[in-house]
Order: sequence, then C-alpha cells, then structure tokens
Amino acid sequence: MALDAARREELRRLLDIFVETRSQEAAARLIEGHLPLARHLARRFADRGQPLDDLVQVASIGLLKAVERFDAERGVEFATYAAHTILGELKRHFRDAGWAVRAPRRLQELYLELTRLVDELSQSLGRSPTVAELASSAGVTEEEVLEALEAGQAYRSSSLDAPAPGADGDASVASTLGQVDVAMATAEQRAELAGLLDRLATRERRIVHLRFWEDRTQAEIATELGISQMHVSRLLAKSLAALREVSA
Amino acid sequence: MAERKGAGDEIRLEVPTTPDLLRLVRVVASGLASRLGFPIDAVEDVRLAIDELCWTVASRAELTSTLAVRFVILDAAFTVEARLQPAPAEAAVAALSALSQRILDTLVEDYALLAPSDGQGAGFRMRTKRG
Repeated sequence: MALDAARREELRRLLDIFVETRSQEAAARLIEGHLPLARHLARRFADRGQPLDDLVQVASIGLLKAVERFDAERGVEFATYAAHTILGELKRHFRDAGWAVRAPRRLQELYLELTRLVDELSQSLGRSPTVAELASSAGVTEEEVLEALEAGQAYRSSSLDAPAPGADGDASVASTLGQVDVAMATAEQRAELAGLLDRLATRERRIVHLRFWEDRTQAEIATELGISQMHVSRLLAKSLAALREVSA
Repeated sequence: MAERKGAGDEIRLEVPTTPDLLRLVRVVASGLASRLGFPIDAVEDVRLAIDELCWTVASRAELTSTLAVRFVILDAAFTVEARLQPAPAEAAVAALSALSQRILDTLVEDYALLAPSDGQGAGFRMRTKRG
C-alpha cells in the first residue's frame, strides 16, 4: 500500500484541513484518498465466501467511521488509525453475519439443483413439493435438502445498498408502495414502514409487497417476476434480514 | 428403531442468543416442518417466522442469555415457545414492529410475544401454518 510522497503529503494536508474545519468536502476527499487502503484490507478477507464488492463496502464504512472519529490529539497517523478501524469493521461484519456461513461446494450444487426441481415439481404436481419429494427426486436425504436450503439462504447484509428504486427500470413498482400503507394503523407507522421498505431495491421491495401485503405465494411471485421460487424465497429472507438490521 | 410422529411429542433446545447459534432454532423448526410433510414454501415460511421472532426477542437479550425453546408436535402443525434465560435484570418486553406484525400475520397461524413471568425472561410463542 505504498503511496508516493506527493500523494501522502496531499492526504496529510487534507487531514489537517479536515481536523481544523470538519469540512465535508475534505472528509469526502480523505475517504476517496484512502479507498485503496479499504480495498486492500477487504481483499484480506476475500477467501471467506463473501463477494469482494460486499467486503469493500464494509471496509468503506469502516473508513467513514475512521474519518468521523479520528482525533489528531492522540498522535496516531490517520492511515494507522483508519486501518485499525477498517479491520475492526470487517471483523465485526463476519462476527455479526454468523448466519452467512460459507457453504461447502456440494451443498451449493445441491441448492442449485433444488432450485430447478422445486419449479419442475411444482409444475408437475400442481402444488409446492414437500421436502421428502424433493429429496427423492434429487436422490439425497431430507436432511441434505434441509442443509442445502440453509446453506443457500445464507444471509448477507448487502441488500440495503442495492440499486436505488427504479434503477432496474421497473417504474411501476414505486406506485404500488402507496398501497402498502392501507392497513397500517397510524400515519407514523405508515411513514416508518414506507421509509424502511424504501431502503430495499425495487425488485426486493416488490417481492416483500406481493408476499406480505397481497398475500401472494412464493410460486405466484416467481411466475410474475419470471424467476425461480427458490430465488423468491432467498430474496425474501435476505430482504427481511436487511430490514431487521436497519431497524435495529 | 420404530418411527413415531406422535402428536404431543416435545423437543427442547437451549441455545445462546448469538446469531450463529440461534440458527439452530431455525434448523430444528424446518426439520420438524419437513417431517410433518409441509410443502417447501410452508417450510420457508416457518424459517422466516422463526427468524423474525428470534431476532425480536434476542435483540433484548443480555450477552450471556440463552433462549430455551420448546417445540410441541401437533397433528399437522407444531408450536414453538421460547423464553430468554435467565430473565434480564430489567424486565424489558420486546415489541413487534408494524412490519414484523405484518410479516408474521402472513406466515403463521398464531403468534404472540410473551412478557417475563415467574423468573422467566421475555419470549414468544407461535403456531405454524401448513400452507
């Protein structure tokens, strides 16, 4: 992570400005200047089964916290302090994401096969298959099916930073949000709920809306969105986990 | 070994309230749902409901708390009752957010948060819906 002397000097100068003025512009440039450090540290954790992009995002949050909390009086170099804070954030991320245990390859492959089988069997049976039926079709035990489900739905906290509403071109979804409000008791609850759901990406918000406000089944939602039922299930679990996180 | 699926059978589990171990409640619940022949989407509903309720209760737990969970098998459903152990010093009662209520209304037949009582901490109970 060697920076050339001029760049180091520039960052030092920015830090002085920030310490003195708490200027947002200086903060933003400091963050930008230290992003390579955040990326470098994120890569150290890249073999733990989480996408590098997610880790970089976590590291960036650590960097942001470092800028906000840095106290020049302590006599510590900012880069040292930032590295410490970023590593702390990354470690905390892995500790808190205990549900996101890396799945063995055989379970990942079984999960993918189950994704296909759920749709196939749903079509041939005219209803959602049972775990026993899935196990029989896949030639595995029911426990293995359950294990694969668990592995396939390992939660990640990234869905809150997914594309902004409308980013995937589905403009009609935003208008359905208004209907979300109908059953909520108070204006305060409505506002809180709309604010929460707004944090989800458009597709996830639509799935949550269809499932919990229109009482549509996962299979119906899958058909409407042209994705597999298991994918709907996974996105639902992910969205609810993300909403819990943000409302904590 | 003879297989029995008798209504009234109970399973008890006591887990620390850390996310990686609370997932065991979800694992047992989905195992039971599977054993009772729930379709896969209903199994998923059970998992989501357990997540929602465990999170609500565990968010008030102290670091050393455990969650004592009792599953009771019924004819074609099961109930889950969970209590924090020991009861937190301050008897904080968890509350369900409007969103959690909406989610649980959809996913399960019946649910409630339980207030601390008789030395037991706050908790929840739920009854599954087979779908």
